[in-house]
Amino acid sequence: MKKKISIPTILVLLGTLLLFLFPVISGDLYLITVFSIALIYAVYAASWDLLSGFTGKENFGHGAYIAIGAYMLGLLSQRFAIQPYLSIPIAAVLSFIFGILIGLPTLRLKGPYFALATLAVATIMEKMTYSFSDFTGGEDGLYGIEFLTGDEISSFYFVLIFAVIAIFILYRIGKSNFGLTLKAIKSDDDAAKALGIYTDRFKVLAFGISATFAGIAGTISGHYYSYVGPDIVYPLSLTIIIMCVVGGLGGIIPAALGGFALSYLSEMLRDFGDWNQLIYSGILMLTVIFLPRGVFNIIGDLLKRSKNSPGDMISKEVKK
Amino acid sequence: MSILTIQHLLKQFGGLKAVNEVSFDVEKGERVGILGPNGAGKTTLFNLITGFIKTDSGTVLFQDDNITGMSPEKIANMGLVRTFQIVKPFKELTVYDNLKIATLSQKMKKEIKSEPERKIWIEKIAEMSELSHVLSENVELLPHGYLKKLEVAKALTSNPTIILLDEPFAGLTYHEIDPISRVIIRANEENGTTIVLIEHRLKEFMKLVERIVAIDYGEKIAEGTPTEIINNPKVIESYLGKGGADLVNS
Repeated sequence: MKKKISIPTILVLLGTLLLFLFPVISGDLYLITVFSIALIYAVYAASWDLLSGFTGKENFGHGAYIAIGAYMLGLLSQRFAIQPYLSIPIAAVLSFIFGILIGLPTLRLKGPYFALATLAVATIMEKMTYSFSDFTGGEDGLYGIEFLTGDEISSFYFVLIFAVIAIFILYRIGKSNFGLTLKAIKSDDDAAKALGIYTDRFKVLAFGISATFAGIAGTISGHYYSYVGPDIVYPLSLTIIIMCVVGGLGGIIPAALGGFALSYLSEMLRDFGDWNQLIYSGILMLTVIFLPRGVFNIIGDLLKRSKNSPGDMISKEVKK
Repeated sequence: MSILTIQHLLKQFGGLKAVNEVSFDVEKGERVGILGPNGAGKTTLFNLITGFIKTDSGTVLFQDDNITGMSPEKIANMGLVRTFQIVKPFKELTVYDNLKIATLSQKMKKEIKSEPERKIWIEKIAEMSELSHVLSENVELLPHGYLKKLEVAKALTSNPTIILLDEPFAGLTYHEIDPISRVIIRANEENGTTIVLIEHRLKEFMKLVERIVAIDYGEKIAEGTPTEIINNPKVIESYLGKGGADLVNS
């Protein structure tokens, strides 16, 4: 049986190709910057989706794991001129460990209690950022971080290549037996346990992987801005959830597209000044009401819809 | 040889003794039924055996291992698997993927070495459970009878030594019961899987099981062959109330 490449896959690949060609086609540095930031948001959203979209455990404090990567970089940069090739692996290890440590006690909590616990983690981290302002710079944040690369265009390519790799890895994990098990856990934890699946281990590992990619992306954003501060980390917890819900959960790519699209959209809405929040929120409410499965999940399904309508097999069976 | 030994199992919810000092044995390869009116404590008994609820006292021995107090995952990995009265399909997934989940436990990782092997195994169980033609369907689209069949098939895919079925016929029409009954018998006769079954559909139940343990108000009231059990005055009274036995015999 030959595998056919579906239309959504082709579109996503085409879009990626366009991004690679964009600096060649257009010299618009403003848009290149907007795209770079949107790509980092796409990774944030994709990493959130692996835990929360797949297992249904909504993490309301994703900013905390981004902060681990970002502040590690900020703090080290006060002493050393630390380069991305060093900061990225450190961020990966630290945020993975942090994710596991937080996941172990909190993932046993059910429903809203897990959400509250993760919210608390991020809130505590934020408060600590202000309390230890001698180290963290408090509200002012930390400066003097090495830039990702020398100029906007090569930084854009750095972020783009990172985003493509990160999202691809997360996508493959989601498609693997591991991802399938996470979906089973989301649907029914007890039923999975009854078949011998150690559900807690799967959830904790998913949390660790989710935190790892958030942490790495946090570090890259620190390099990109050459700055780390509470304003580019903590408000993200909520923004990311919105991006994933609008994009669509449980498939990595829809969530990543949601992150990219909403990040781009909020930048474009700047022209509306005071109205921008209202328009942004309006779009969100409309999607949640009319497209509860997420914009990109629904577009994907429409494009893939096969000629055999679902349920055919059963109706044939019943007629017999 | 006794494969499952229940000794003085006790569970109290507040003042209510849901399972009160219940003891019985299950032999290897047997088809045993648990009988009792609603609220007799049958499902609680299953929950205690499979580790979903912690026992207050008593022991459960499975293949000579004491499994009392172990986690449900660990017990399932040892080959003791249960199904649920209210079906628990993995939503948003196909029938194939639902069965595949059962092959991803630690136990099955040892038994299945490669992806092609996994596919062959899943297809074999699907064929046995008469689910082959709906493998690629999303479970949301399946009628209740299929979901009940899937519930049994999922458990069978984990290649259990013994399977505890909690009301596999509940809510089904006569025509839907037959296929599930066939699956249970095939699993028992072809794979040698030991069967313990809770069921209220007495006609089908009596045909299926070789031995019955009757429970009422959390206590074991009788044990024996189906014919012995339906003539047992205590069992009749548990269903019809006091004096029920006289009524039936008169």
